[in-house]
Amino acid sequence: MRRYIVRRLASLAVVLWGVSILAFALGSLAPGDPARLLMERTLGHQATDEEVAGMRQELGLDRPAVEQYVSWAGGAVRGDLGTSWSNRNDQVSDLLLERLPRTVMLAVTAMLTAVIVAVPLGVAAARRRNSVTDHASRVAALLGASVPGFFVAYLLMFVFGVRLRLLPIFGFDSPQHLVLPSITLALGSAAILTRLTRSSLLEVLGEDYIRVGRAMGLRSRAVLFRHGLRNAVIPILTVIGLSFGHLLAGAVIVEWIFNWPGLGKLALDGIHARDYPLIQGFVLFTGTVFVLMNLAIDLAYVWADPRVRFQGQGA
Amino acid sequence: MTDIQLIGSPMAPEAEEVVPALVGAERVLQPLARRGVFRRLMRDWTARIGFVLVVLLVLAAVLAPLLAPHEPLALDGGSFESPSWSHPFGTDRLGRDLFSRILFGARLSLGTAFFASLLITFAAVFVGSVTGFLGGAVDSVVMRVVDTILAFPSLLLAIVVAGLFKPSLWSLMLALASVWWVGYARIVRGLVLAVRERQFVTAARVAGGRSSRILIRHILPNVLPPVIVLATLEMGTLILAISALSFLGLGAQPPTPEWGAMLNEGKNHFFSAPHLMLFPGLAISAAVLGFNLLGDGLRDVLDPKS
Repeated sequence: MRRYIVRRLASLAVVLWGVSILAFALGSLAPGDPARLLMERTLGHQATDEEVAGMRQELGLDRPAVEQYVSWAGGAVRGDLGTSWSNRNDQVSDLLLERLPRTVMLAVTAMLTAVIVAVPLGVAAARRRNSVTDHASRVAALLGASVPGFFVAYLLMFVFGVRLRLLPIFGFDSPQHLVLPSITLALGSAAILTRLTRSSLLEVLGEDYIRVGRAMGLRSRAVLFRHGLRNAVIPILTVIGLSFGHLLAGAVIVEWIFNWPGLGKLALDGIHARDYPLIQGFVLFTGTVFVLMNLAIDLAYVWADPRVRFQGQGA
Repeated sequence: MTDIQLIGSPMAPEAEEVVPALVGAERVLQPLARRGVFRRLMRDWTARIGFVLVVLLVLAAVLAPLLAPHEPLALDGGSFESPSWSHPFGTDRLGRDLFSRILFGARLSLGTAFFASLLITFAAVFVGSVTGFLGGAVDSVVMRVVDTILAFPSLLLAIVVAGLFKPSLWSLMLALASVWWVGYARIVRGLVLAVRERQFVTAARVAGGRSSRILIRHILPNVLPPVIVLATLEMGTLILAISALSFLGLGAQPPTPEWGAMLNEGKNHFFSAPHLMLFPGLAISAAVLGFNLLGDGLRDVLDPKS
């Protein structure tokens, strides 16, 4: 167990290092001259070569790439990601931290929505295999996975915002503003969770100990929930953890559509404005979050499953 | 992996989860061709629907110039006309026929997805087989690069990469390929590692075959089929990603009749002319659904457990 954790942490360090190089490279390998871009944006007109050269020196872009990387990464370790080129020259780290809670709020609501819908649906489908419920859940899951969220978003807006006038469409002033974005975001995860709950429950229900339980006369409800679902829960939890990453990625599009001022909207605005420090900071920040989240999931998995835990000890 | 879920397609199989099935299926794969994969595939109603959708889509793409009642870029109607006999899906702001644009859009979506998956497969087979075959330092370094890229949800990284370039369908395709190849490369590497230990490879080595020849003649033929199947399974995810990036303004630009770009154009007039978004949205949904259904069916048929 301890050896596993040590090995896992070592590879984590390597990946984090890789993430920082990737984040830095994405900003500095981009075509075009960032110094000219920024100078002309500040001036509002064509810049002379001297002005561009001055700006290049000011930004430190005349130094060798390795040196630039070291000073950028050194700052990043201390929480300094530089200043944003758009956004009134705010600190990139401040911008990221200010927007993070809103994206997390959206992702968590979406995840809860997905779990509340998908797990009961999956259990119902597994319980009565090939029933109408089973087929209906299959169709729902297929549609949820295939219909693009950015299309569903507008359908929801049209029905609930424009026709029924039940819910607000843009912005984030009240809890009601959370409803449509989180439903949109939840769809994909709900689809995969429904199918996964069904299949892992079906697999567990085929095990010998379930048959024994039934043969010994346990009520089917007890078999289903106490023995079936409990053993099916580990793969379900893993997928819930993994889909958080995808939720955060999906949030980029959903936030953009609903004008939800989270991390994703910040990043997309930064991309459209070619705000390289912001893009680099965003990639480093989200990359680190994903890496740490994967670590947490792996460790939780080891902790939750005695089979893995004891195997680790034996090794 | 894919992420899509992205709003992407979570239905697309996780690479890691498909591969054991595919590797195991290797034995089954050859005889299957004789036993009729297609007939078994068509036994499932969802796969049948997927097949029909995909065939319709390919027909639409191939026959677009014959089927389209108007030129996709011609301004030959009133603006924002509702669907009618002469304009079955209505017209957009500039009076272009939406139905014709969607037919031509099928070429762009399918074509881009096809070339992107070709690029991905090519890069992955090259990198994966070389690292898997050589091992050593090259292998460790490349695999750390792969781990790093896999640390991100693919769509997120593709959005950032596409955003660095002047938006076009080409830059979009390259951005997707530059992110998506890594998962495949890891799979190819795993397959190469497995095949490398097989007896016929040892035999070829003992017989004095050169490494490059062993790799190309003996290992790759055993690695390619599962990778091609995997690439087919992911077509739906790619189509979704292409339209998502175009929708965000990072891919095809107006007046290109790409579905995602059409959605982006339509969103400004959504409340007054919802048909501008409805039809491109349905087209994307149908395409993704078709490929996902077909892919799911194919996976079930190839899974040795079934």
